[in-house]
Amino acid sequence: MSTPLLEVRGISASIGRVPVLLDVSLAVPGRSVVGLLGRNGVGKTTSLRCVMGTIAATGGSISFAGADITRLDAHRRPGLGIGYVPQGRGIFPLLTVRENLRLGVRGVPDATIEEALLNRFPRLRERLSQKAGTMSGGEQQMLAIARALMTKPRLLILDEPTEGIMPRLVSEIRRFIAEIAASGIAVLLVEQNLKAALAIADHVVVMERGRSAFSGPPASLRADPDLVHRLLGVGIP
Amino acid sequence: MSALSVNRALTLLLLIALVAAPPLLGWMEVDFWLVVLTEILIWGLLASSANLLFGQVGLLSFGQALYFGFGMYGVAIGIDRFGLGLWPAMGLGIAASLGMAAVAGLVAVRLTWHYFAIITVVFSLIFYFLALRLKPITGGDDGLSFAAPPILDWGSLRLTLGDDATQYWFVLLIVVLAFALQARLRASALGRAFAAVREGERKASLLGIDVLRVRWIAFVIAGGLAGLAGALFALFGRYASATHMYYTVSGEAVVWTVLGGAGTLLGPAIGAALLILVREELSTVWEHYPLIVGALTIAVVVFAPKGIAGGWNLMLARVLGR
Repeated sequence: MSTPLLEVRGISASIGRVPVLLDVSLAVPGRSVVGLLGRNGVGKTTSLRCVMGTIAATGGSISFAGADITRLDAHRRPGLGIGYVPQGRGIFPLLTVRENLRLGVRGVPDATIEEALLNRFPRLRERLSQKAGTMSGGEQQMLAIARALMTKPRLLILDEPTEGIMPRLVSEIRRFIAEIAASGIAVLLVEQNLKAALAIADHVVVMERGRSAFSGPPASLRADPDLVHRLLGVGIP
Repeated sequence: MSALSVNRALTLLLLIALVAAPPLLGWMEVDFWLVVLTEILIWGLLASSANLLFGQVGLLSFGQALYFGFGMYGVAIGIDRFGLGLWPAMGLGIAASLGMAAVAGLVAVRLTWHYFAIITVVFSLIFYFLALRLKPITGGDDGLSFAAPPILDWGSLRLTLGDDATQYWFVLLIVVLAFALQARLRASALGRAFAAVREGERKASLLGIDVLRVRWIAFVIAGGLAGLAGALFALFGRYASATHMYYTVSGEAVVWTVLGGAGTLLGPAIGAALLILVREELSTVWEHYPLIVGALTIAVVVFAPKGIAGGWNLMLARVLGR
């Protein structure tokens, strides 16, 4: 494995006084897809928020492209090349699709919304002037992904991108993620659907009660049904 | 026809009516309304400053009168004490309010909601009492009176505020420019950042927006707008007084904003116009007229929470079927 683009080493974190993360480590090498799995409430989203800086890590360290970002302000992290699609999408419902997309980038003319991006998300092209909150959940998710891509990230972090999306659009969103990964952008993906995660990921980290309990290739996880059942409460898909 | 084009056409009509107001009111033999209209323009500008913070960035300020007062005193002190001309004195007033907002903003923007509202009132009260005490500089209770220098004195061309119509057009020009600047700001990247911060700080910071910096910039711009309104008001009254720095003046700006439509460009000015007209018509016949203002505001908040302009936009969207 090459030098990781993102490296999280033994981080801990609390929400209020409640310790949520105890010891989480994971690494995302460049141009790879890492799946972060675990039951509800084990700290997956909190781990991502620590990486993005909206929750402070109380211990351990986080580095991106070789630089320590553990204490870096949240608003400085996207500029390093980290795109983030949070759980619940994080779009601005009262702003138009165009305004949402433009929020992701600064310093280029207002009219510039990359053609390549709109070709990838044709539904958004049709809705550029529409208020984002009036779109369906799947379309909002596409907007959230497209907006994260506006910054040309080296790493895209997606937190349950298919949660609450109508089944017809789930496969479309998974296809987008696969295309993004194929284009050379590293992906860190939290995904509830084990089958989908194992299909796309090069490497899998499974969390259990605030700790990273397993880290390895999908094949190793598939080879150990007992472990899968203990950590995820499901059988091998 | 889109709602945007209807609103643009109406704005253009309003602008034409405003430009033509002096001869029109003269023809109707109701010249005194021109002075009221001048005052409405100035208070509308102050309301737009409260709106920039509340409607665009989501910060409820009860302290815009402080920057209004700095604008007033900047002009009065500039003219009365330093012998400045009209334009340099206005520059001094605006610079003073921008400077004050830049300093106060460093503390205030770290707070939100009621904490933010309280700190803005606290700053406002501190300087209100200081203005009353610092008699040698501010004139204390008596305030500072001055004779307004000419707007333009170039050869045989001399424009002064002594003529009501000239004064009105002078104020109109500056207020229109200030609103045009705000319209431009709303469509800019900074305007979008304002909206993003209002809609969700965390979401905004995840997009690389420095929330505190964006709030501070809004605070300073709003301070400058309030200062510009104060500078105009000082020239309008040839007078500066601490009374206009009191937090009730800030409160009025918030009421005008909410009534007219927070977040809309012209709503705050519409709210100011409506309530000043109510005051002008009712204050002479009924001393408790603020009760009507209160009832009107409650009615709007209950039945049209987006204010008059917001309600209008909703109605327009329905009529035009989108």
